Amino acid sequence: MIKTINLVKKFDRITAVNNLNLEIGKGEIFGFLGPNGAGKTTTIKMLTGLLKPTEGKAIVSGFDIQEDPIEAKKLIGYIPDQPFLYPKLTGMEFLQFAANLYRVEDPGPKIDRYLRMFELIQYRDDLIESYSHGMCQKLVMGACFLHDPKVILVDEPMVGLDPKSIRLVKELFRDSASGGLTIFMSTHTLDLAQDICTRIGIINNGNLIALGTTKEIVSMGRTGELEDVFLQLTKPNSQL
Amino acid sequence: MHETIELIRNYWAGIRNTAARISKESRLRTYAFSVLGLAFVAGVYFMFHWLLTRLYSFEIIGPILIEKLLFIIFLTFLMMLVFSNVITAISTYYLSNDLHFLFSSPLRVESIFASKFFETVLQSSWAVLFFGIPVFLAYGIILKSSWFFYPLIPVFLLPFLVIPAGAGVMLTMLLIRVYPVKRIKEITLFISIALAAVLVIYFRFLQPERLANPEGFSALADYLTFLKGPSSTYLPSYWVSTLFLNTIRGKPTDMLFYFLMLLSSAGASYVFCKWVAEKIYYESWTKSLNKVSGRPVRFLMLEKLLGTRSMFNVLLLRDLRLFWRDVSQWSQIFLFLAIGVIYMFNLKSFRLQTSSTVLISFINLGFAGFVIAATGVRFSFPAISLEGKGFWLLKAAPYPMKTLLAEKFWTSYIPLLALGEVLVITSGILLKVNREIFFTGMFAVFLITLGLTGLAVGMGASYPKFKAKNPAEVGGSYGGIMYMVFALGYVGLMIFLLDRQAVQFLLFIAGFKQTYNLEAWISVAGTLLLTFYVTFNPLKNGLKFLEQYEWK
Repeated sequence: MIKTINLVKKFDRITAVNNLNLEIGKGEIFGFLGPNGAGKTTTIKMLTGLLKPTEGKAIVSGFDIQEDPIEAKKLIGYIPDQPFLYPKLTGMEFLQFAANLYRVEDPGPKIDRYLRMFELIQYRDDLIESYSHGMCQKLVMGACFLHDPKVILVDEPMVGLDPKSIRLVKELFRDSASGGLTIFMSTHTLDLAQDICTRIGIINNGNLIALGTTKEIVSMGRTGELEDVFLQLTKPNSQL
Repeated sequence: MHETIELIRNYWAGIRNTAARISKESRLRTYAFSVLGLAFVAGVYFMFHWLLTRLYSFEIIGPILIEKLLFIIFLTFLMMLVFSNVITAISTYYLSNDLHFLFSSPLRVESIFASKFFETVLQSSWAVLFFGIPVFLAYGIILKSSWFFYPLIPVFLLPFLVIPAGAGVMLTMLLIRVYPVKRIKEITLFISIALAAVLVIYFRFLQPERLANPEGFSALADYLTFLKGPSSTYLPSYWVSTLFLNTIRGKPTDMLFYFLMLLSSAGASYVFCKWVAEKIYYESWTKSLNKVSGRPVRFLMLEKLLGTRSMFNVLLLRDLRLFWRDVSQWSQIFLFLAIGVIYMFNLKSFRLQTSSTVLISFINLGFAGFVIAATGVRFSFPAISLEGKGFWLLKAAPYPMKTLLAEKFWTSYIPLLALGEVLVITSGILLKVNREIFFTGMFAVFLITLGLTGLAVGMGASYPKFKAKNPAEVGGSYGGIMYMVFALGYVGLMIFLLDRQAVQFLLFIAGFKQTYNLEAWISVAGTLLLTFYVTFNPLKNGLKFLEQYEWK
C-alpha cells in the first residue's frame, strides 16, 4: 500500500531524508520512530504530497503521489502533528467541510458517529477557536476517517489526548487495520509503538537505521523493551 | 529591575533577529521599504513646512495660528495614543505567546508588567514618532529655534508617550477583568476601523485642496483663530506643546516647569498603572485564558441554496462563514464605504472645476479603477493567504489547486464588479453623461475589474503569507505593494487605450454607430489583449506557485 523508492529530501544543504526505501503492506500498522529532527515528519509530508521529494518516488495505493496526486490523495487520510483548523467554523461545520472535500455521500451518520466516538457531540456547534488542543486533535482524527481511506498517515497521534481518548484511538487503529487499513504512524511514544505496531522503522539523521517486525526490533536489545533498543540505536556512534 | 532589564533585552534581541532575517531574505525589499519610509517622512516635512510658512505669513495672528495648530496636533496624538495603547496592550499583556512561559517561571508579576509596558509603549508609539518627528523639525526650522531644540525632541516626547500608555494599559486590564479578551479585541478593532472611516470622510469634507488658494487658506486661518482653547491646560498635550514652543523661543524657566509637569505625570501614570497591575493583572490574565464559548451565527438559507453540489459551492460557503464571523474582515467594509463617499464627493468637486464631460468621465474611470484596486488589495489579494495555517487541509485533499484559485477569483470578481459598476453608473447619472460615455464606462469597468481581480488573486497566490495574523498584514506586505504598483499601471494603461477612438468602436459593436475606423479597432483590441494578459498571467503564475508550494 505504501512504497518509497530511494526517497530523498534536501533543504538547502541539509539532507532531511536520505535514500529511504520502505514497503508497507495492507493492514499493517507501521511505527516510524526517530529522535527530533530525524526526518519522520518530512517523510510523512512527502507521502501526503505536502512536500516534494528531491529525488525518488513515494507511492501510495499504487499511485505515485507526484504523478497522480489527486488519485493518491483520495485514498489517504492525514493527521498532522499540529491540528491547525479554521477557528471560525464550528466542529460540525468543519467535519461537513472535510466530508465534502472528499465527496463523501450522505456524511451525516458518519459525522455523528465520530462526534459521539470522540465525545465532541456536545461541542459540535461551538466554534473551533474555543476547542482545546486535544479536542482539535480528535476532530482531525474524525475528519480523517470520514472518507474511509485506504491509508492513514499520522504524525504524533496521541499529543494532547487524555488517557481515555488514547485508548480509544488505539482500538480504532487496531480495528481499522484488521479491516485492511494501512497505518503509517510517526511517534515518540515508544510504548504505543510497541503496543500496536506490527512493524517498526527507526530513522536517524535522515537514514533508516533499523527495520523489522516489532518483535525483531525489540529482540535486538537485552531487556525486551523498545526504549532500550531505540536509545542504543540512536546514540552517536551506535553499534548495537 | 534586573529581571525587567533581562526581559527587555530578550525582546530587543527578537526584534533585531527579525530585522536581520528580513534584511537577509531580500535586500531589495529592505531598500524599497526604506526608500518608501524616507519618502513619507520627507513628504510630511515638506507639507508642514509649506503649511506653517503660509500660516506664519498672516500678520499678527500668524504665530498664534501655528501655536494652535501644534496644540491640536498633540491633542490628536494624545487621543490616538490612548486608543492605540488599549489595542496594543490586549496583545502584549494578554494574547502574546510568551506569557505562558513568563507566568510559569519564577518571575515577579511586576517584572512581567514592566517589560510588557516597554513593549506596549514601543509598539503603540512608533507611528506617532514617524509622523511627528518631521512635523516638529518643520516647526523648529520655521520658528528658527536654536540647535538644542532638536536633541531635546525625543527627551520631551518620552514622558508624553508614557502618560497615555499608562492610561491605556490600565483601561485594558480593567476591561478584561469584566469582559472576555476576544470580545474586547473585536470591539476595539471595530471601533478603530469605524473611527478611521469617519476620520477619512471628515478630512475629505474639510476640502484640503482649498488650502491651495488664498481664500481657502484664509478660511482655515479663521477657523484656527476662533477655535477656543483647543487644548485644556490640564492635559499633557498642552504641557508638551507649551514645552516645545518655550524651547523653540529659548525660555528656560517655563521649559523646566512644563517638563517637570510631564515627567511627574508620566511617573504617576506608570506607578498608578503598576499598582493596578499588581492587584489585577495576573487574575485578569488567567481569566483571559478561559475560552469564549457561544453559538455562532448560522447561514441556513445560504447552506440550503449552495448545498454541496460542487467543490466551488463548498469552498464558497466556508469562505462566507469565515468572512462574516471574523470582525477583522467584514469591518473593513466601513473603510471602503468611506472611500465610496469620498469618491462621490470628489466627483462633485471636479464637476464644478471643469466643464469637459469627457475629461471628467475619464478621470472618473481612473478613480473607479483606483477604488477597485484598493479594495482588491484588502479583500482579493489576501484571499489565498487567509487560508492560513489550515492550508494543509486543502493541500492534502484530492482537489486541484485551480479549483481553489477559481473560487477565490469569482468570489472576488463579482463583488468588485458590482462595486465598480455602482460607482460608474452613479457617477454617470451625477455627471449627466451621454449614452456613449455611459456605455464605455460600464464596459471599461467590466474589463478593469477582470484584470485587477486576476492580478490580485494571482499575485496573492504567488506571494502568500499563511502565517499573517490579519488581512491588513498581507495587503501591506511586499507582494501587496507590488500588486498596487502593477494595478495602478494597468489602470493607467487601460485609460490611455480607451481613448475616444475606442469609444467609436464600442458604439459600433453596440449598434449605436454605423462605422468605425482602424485606430478604434486597434485601441479596443489593445484593451482586450492587455486585460487578458493581466487576468490570466498572474493566475497562471499563482497556480504554478501553489501547486509547487511545500508545506514545511
